Amino acid sequence: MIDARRFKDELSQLLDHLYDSQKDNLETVAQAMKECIEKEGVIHVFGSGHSVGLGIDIKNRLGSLVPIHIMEMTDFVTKGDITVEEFMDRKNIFERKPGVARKLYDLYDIRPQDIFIVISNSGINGIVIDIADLAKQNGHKVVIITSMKHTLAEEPRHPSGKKLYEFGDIVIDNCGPHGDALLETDGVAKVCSVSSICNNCIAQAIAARTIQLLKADGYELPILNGDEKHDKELKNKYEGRA
Amino acid sequence: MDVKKEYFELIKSKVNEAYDTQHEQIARIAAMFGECMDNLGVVQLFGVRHGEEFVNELNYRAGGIAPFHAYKFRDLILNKKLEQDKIDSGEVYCDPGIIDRFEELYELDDRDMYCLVSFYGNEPLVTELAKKAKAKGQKVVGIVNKRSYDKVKGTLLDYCDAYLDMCADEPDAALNIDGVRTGQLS
Repeated sequence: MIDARRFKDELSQLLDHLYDSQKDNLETVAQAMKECIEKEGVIHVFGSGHSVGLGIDIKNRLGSLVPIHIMEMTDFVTKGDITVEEFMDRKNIFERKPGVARKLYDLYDIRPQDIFIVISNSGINGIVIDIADLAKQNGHKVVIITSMKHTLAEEPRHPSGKKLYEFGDIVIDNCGPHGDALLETDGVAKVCSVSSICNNCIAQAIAARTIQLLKADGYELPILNGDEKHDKELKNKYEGRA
Repeated sequence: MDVKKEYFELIKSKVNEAYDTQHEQIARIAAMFGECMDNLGVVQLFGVRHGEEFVNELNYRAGGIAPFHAYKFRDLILNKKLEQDKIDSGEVYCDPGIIDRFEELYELDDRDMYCLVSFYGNEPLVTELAKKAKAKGQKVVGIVNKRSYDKVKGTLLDYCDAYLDMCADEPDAALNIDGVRTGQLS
């Protein structure tokens, strides 16, 4: 039977497994974020589809780090010169066009000390791989968050024959099942996606550890504290970058 | 305890709390969703800012149910009914006229019901949508953080047939790192 208890119990087990198997990688990412921030860098976050939620969860909240930038496909329209019609063209899917990743990358103020977090459950879609590849080519540290079960079960689709995890300096496995849905049912399909929950836990944990490391170094924390003047000044510091 | 471990333990405890205190309500709301869908209605979802994350969980997911539809600002922007700078400035969140723009865009039906998210239960757009739905006799489910809702005397639940509590802390920053509050659970 599918019910809330079953979801709660299986989710709890999954989160235990995620922490136990990935804690060292989470620590490595937090260290990389600390070093980036101490060099006045920004962490650029790019995710396909629902994966974008990871960046949203750790941004613009009490105690959240300001130097986090979310790269979004809609930036092509709002910040670039792509028309809505071209962006929404179902016959010529925009994100599959050649050179799209480069165009997105070039929209932003990216500096040498910045790092990238690129998220995709399947790790086979073109644009996420292209962004990770571009970041690497430009000398940036690249963190990948993916479902290793899912990605290893899929054939690569990228012209390089590679999958996203192969571009990571650090790879975090969100431990999600193949297809993302956690619970088996009596018939047709599995249900209850877990990647967002897992990804958000990963994000919050590494953000917290980053703050702890920055504090230990005596670095002035670039976090929102609820004081309007402080928060506005901090956001102005990273204006145009995050 | 390692602060990363601490966060994971807090999340699990909140998941258990949400289940232990609300499993009957969860089942009741699931039945409301099912009844709506059996009647060929759609469950309309809306939340602003971080409330949109809840909406995204139900809308268009692997193993998800098809008759969930989300009101998204992205749709207004891409259909030229809203400019990005109105979101960036925060102006959009206080303009109840935005709800009309959504409703011009989407194919809505009297058989639909609403599931609306607001941490404090006082987001103007969310409350406006709840009011409109209630006035049409449609069912409304609210998702709020009850201790925060009670603190500010939110109003969303005045228009709701049922609600769920996020069970997060107030304020929503569960970790204390040497006096620094961070770590959202909502």
